[in-house]
Amino acid sequence: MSIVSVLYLAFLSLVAVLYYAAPQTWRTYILLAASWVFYGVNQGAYLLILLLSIGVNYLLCRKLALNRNKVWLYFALSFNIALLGFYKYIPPILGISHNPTGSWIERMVIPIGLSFFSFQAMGNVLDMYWGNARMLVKPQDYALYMSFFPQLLSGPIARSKSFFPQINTHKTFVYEDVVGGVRRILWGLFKKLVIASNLAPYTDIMFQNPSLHGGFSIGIAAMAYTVQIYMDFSGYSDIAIGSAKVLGFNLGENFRIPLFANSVTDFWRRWHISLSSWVRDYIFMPMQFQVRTWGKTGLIFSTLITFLVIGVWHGANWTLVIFGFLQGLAICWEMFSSGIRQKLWGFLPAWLGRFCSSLLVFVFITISAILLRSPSLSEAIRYYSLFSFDVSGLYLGSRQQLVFAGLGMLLVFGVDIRKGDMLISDFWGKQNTLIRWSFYILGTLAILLIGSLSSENFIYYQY
Amino acid sequence: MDRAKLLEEIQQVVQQVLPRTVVQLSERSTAKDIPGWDSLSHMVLMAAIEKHFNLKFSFIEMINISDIGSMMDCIMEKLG
Repeated sequence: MSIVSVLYLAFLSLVAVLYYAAPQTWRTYILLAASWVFYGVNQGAYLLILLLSIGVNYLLCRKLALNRNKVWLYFALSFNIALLGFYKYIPPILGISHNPTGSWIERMVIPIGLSFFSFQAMGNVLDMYWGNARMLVKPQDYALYMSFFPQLLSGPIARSKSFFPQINTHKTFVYEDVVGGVRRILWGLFKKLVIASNLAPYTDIMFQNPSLHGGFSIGIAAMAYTVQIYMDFSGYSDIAIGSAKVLGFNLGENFRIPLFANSVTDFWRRWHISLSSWVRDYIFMPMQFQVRTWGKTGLIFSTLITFLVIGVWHGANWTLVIFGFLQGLAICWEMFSSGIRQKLWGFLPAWLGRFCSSLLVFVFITISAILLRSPSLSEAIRYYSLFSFDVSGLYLGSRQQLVFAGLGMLLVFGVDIRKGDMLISDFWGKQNTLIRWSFYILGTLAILLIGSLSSENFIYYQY
Repeated sequence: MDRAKLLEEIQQVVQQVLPRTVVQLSERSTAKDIPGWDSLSHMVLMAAIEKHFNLKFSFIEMINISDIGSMMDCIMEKLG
């Protein structure tokens, strides 16, 4: 059941009706059953992996709550890392590629959402150990925290401190919240189907056979891919956050206009916030605590390790290690060059300085995103080497799809600039009736008429 | 040490660690009010505070210090 399908919207509506109609004591079980049905329909027998993870993690949390012993913490961390390692890292490290008719290990795929729910489990157990969340919740509440269907497949990675209190809060049907959630879902579908999916055929062709097209097309396709991955993942996050809102749950924001960031540091505060804040709190801070007396060396060390983890979180590939390392290096450079950069941009008018720095960040992210997209380091290097400023043989794919995606981007980026830090559902909610209904009607028509289902899956499912 | 004197000393340490920060600190100043005090510089600042006052924070204490007031409470407690 793809979350960009009518079936998903019908499923969400049915769950919402049952949820609000049911007495409070049933509600957690309704969401739990819905989440497991949703995961089972999408992932079949891999539901057992989710259930195993819930069972083992809950037992270890229970042990930790009774006895704050490091052993239980290490058991829990090792279990989650082993689960991730078994499915996500061991096959590529052993050079085993997926083959649906091969041996059991060749048939194995990464269960969608494994990286997300495993990180939630580790975050919770660390919070319990550190005393930020000492109380042991009921097993059904823990199971829901691990498997809440709107965020199960690709996040946002939930935090126990904010999620657990929401489970047993009595929620009444609040029209504004539900409509706000639906608005958010519509916005996410627009980003995914009108922009990301219309860009996907072009970037697929370009990345599969970059040598067949002009050198300048290589650059255009790389930029298109950066926009595509943003629209794809932030679109997914909008649908997830909107779906949760329909059910009265607030999930944290996952993106805050990252493509307009004015530094790489700023970018990582705005991009995939639930992951970047997770690694900040559970990896960077503890490591930085240990090496705090090393001064700048400690800061560089912790930053590089943290971003290597972010890189490797995406998978076991040298491209991803280098991706993470590059981000870490850029942030270290920014930490120690803020004076020089301020002077440099200080020569320019403020708006121009900001524009130039945002442009530089966009180019850097585009160069990095090639590493995310390329199946191997040699492919990435080949892609880089084919780039030139020669516009002969320029290939832009289907003009029609590019125009649709371009118009969609104008709307999304225009709204992003205008709304600032306001939530997208509040932004549309505050417009007058004419504009708001134009958005509902034209947005839906755009999704139905020019939206593409060329890639129903989301890029981040593979992580 | 009284709180006013403590605040003055914290101001000096913050100024040393974040030299581009020209902010008059108060007990209510939070990390958000102090340019440069972010997750990247937090532990460096805490290490400088530890060194200046010759004390040690635990990890939990360090991550829970998010404003000058809570930092002062923690220091006062440790200094007795």
